[in-house]
Amino acid sequence: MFWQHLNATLSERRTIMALDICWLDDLAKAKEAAGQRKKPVLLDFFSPQ
Amino acid sequence: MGAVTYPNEKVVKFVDFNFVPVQINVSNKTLTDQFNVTWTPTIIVLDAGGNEVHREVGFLPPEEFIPMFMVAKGKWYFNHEQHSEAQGMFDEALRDYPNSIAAAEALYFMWVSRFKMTHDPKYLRQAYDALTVKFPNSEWTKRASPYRLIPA
Repeated sequence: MFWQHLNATLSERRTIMALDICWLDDLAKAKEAAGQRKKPVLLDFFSPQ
Repeated sequence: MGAVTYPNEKVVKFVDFNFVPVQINVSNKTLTDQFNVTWTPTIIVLDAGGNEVHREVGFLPPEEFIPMFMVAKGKWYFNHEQHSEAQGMFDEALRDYPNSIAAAEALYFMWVSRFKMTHDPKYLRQAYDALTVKFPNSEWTKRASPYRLIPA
């Protein structure tokens, strides 16, 4: 529904979707995923604005 | 980071391809205490066992963020003794971002990784020689300075 509202083309959707990192919010799950995907974890501590 | 670096398309693709990204609010005292985080942004690269591989404190623009975390990914490979892959990351950082603040560290670990593969100390001397030429004022040149004693 979001995309219909935005009236975006497939290419535009890909561009929009590409502009977000898919952050997890659970370190334990991130470490588990890291083991499965054979990648390191990028752990970002942030202050909400 | 959230306003400038993380929305950058190159950063998004780089992070999604190379890492499992997780964001933790600094109000999470359990984790800030566990990782001794006292300032934001603090970005830590961990292996799947939770061991710290690399840490950065403070803002990095996209053109510095990407090479810095290429080096971090290279160090992760290095720690897993995947030296060909490690050297690939260090080489990419040097090739694509030769003037970044991470470049000297990439060069240092490039040669150290070659030493670890071969146990030939000439690569440590080459680290010092290359750093002296390309990055004479870098901290990594100072860190490599003992290697000047190795015969060329």
